[in-house]
Amino acid sequence: MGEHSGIRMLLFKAWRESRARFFLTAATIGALCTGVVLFNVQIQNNPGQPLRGFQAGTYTEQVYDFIYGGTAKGLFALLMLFFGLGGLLREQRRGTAPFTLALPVTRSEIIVTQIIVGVVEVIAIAALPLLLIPGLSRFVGRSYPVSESLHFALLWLGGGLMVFALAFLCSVLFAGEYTALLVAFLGLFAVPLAAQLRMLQPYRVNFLMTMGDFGTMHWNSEHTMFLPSPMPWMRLLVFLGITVTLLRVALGITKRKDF
Amino acid sequence: MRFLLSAIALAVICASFVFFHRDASSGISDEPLSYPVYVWRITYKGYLRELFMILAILLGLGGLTRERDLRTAGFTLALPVSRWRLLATRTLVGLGQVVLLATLPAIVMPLLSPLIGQAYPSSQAWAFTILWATVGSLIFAMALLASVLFAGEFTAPVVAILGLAAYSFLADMRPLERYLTDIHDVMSGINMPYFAERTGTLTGPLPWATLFTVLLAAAALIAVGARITSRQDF
Repeated sequence: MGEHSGIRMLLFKAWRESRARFFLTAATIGALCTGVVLFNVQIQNNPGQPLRGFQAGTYTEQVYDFIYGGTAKGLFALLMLFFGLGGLLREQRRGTAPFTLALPVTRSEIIVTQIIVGVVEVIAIAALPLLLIPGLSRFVGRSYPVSESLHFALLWLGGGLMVFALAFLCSVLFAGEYTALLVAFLGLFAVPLAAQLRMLQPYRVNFLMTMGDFGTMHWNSEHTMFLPSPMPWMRLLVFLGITVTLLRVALGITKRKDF
Repeated sequence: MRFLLSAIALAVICASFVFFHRDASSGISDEPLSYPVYVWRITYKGYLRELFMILAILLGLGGLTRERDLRTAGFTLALPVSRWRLLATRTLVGLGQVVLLATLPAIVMPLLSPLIGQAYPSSQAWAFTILWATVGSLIFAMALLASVLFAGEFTAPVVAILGLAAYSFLADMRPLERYLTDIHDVMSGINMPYFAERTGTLTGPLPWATLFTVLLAAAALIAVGARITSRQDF
């Protein structure tokens, strides 16, 4: 078996293991984006108290409140945890780890292929609103700037990869069924809580707020578009650094582990 | 393990809400908040409520379908007990754990508040416990049913989380909002006649009819799960 076919096989294995989670998440985020755009008028015209996220007056603000800064963003962050779970510890529990380890590939290749598939899946989900919202908006006689969607796609990608890496590290550290998931959940919840500490408030460590550009959105001069501030590249670089560090730690631990 | 970790996390978070209340209070509002309003906003309306709901989902996972995936279902089914009893025991233990988690804020908040010169009424905390425990039972039942229907280790929690999100979304939509109660609001009291947001306190009698309906829905979901389990081929 050639080296490339071995890697291809590992990529296929990682995809098969995670595809149900991926399709469920993609369907959810896709349905939310499609629903907000296509049924925007119907939701607006409904009498009585407006739906949460639809209290805003303009289309761009509604999309922001519901997708980029609201329900969809929260679900995205939560579901990214599931993309990082799995790995050799899980296989050890199921009794299949010896088969995987007996394959003519290194442990690093096994882990790296899992990371590659996970990262590609995170990219695909983060890009979904970018692919759907500006395009579908034209069908209902509205417009949503591609630049703004791209801006949030990058922010979601930065935050999503960090959550993915956190879950990946937890799945390397904790063998118990759902323990890794639980610890990763707690880690995710700890960040916004810790961010409320006075000494941490100036650093805006709550990456969920950064993902939604919370507190920095502003109006254009005509007050028709709700726009984000310039891309926080430094913050994204920090996100990337944390992601790489967490994944490297996970890789190092797996290499030394006895299965 | 899941329960112990969840309980420790909830207790630690509640304690930190008390001890760091000045920091956290300025983090959640620009205006100064009274202590009961602060406790309500950060505990019963805020992150802790969401965390509790997810922990209830995690406690509902597992069971025979998972055991089939792990190839241990045969051993469990060979035990001299019926499938119904297996599920009933798991349900009872899980519900007990959900109730215990719901009681933690009621124990920690009133107990620790005097240490920082504040007071949070036990009656308020226990009333919220009843709301949390009841709604938590429904969420637990949703997760239990998902774990009966889906064998994949992570498929069941994803489905349960999405089911919960979909329910909240539908409960806010007209005309469904007339027939579906938003369980998030039942737990926190927002927009409910028994709650005063200005003071952050429960003022009226608890919504016993709603709570009974929620428990009935939970029982129905568990019954569906039991029926499916009794017919499933492992």
